[in-house]
Amino acid sequence: MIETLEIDSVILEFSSKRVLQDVYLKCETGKITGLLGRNGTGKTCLMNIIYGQLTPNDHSVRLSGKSLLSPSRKPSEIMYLPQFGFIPKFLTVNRIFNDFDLSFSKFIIEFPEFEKYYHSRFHKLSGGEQRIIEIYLIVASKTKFCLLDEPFSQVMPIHVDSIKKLIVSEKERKGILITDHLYEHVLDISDDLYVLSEGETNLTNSLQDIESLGYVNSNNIRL
Amino acid sequence: MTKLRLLLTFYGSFAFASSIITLACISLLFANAISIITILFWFKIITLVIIFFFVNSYKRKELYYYLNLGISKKALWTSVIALDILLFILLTIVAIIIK
Repeated sequence: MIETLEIDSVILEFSSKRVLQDVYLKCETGKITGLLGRNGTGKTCLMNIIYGQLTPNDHSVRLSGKSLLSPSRKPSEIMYLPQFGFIPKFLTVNRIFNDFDLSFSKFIIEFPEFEKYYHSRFHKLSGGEQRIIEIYLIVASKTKFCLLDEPFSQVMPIHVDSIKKLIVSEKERKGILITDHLYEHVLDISDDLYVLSEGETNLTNSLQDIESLGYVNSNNIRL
Repeated sequence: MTKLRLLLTFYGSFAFASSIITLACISLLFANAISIITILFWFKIITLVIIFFFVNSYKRKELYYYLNLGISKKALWTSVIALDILLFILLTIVAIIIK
């Protein structure tokens, strides 16, 4: 059964400046939905509104048609990867995997170089290594929808490919909403793509659309 | 059990500072008349409010760890503040009995 996560009727203002005004976004299980937009267009705000951590002037978030009125989200329904590190640094890696009820053995099949960190405290890992664990926890967890804010930033190219593989394999079981300025990777794996521009979401299906919405310059498009 | 462990982990991030304040209050209770208890109670509450704003600011990012594991900010704070005040009340009662 396909589940849907929808958001619309969003009005978000900061000191009378309207950031979001005509937003409609739909994410489905079995699909990766990309969200692109210039800095300051409200991508992170939109994710926080969906996750319930930002209350706009008006909004409607629905999970399979049912309105999510409370600000708290069940982990079995939605999990969120913020663009910053969110794991307490003093925790050990094995404790973190236990908390998320995930198998470390499965993780090291994809990322064998992490085997030595099983008993390490999280702060002993480099920034990039910490980010890989954070991405894995959210993407591999048993949830219906994952919101991923800049998963590819801070991660070295060889691991970006592994993460993309992981995201594509996990979409069979969940819906994934992803935003990142490394847009080639987002375009590469997305089934649907929205571009946020002037407070509105635009469902796009071509590079020309993305260019006309002012997100990329055609001279810079590398695919 | 996992939720309890998570709550204790979060409490651990400011338990040291809070315990010092509780112990200071108990010491003052021993050294003064029992009538000081009202002042100590309000001192404890005010310091907890300060801790709340401080932790909410410098641990703001880590709150997403608990959110992703199903504990809302409201549930997190309600539980740990209740635990901290309960400990304070218990130690105060013990101190009064001993005194």
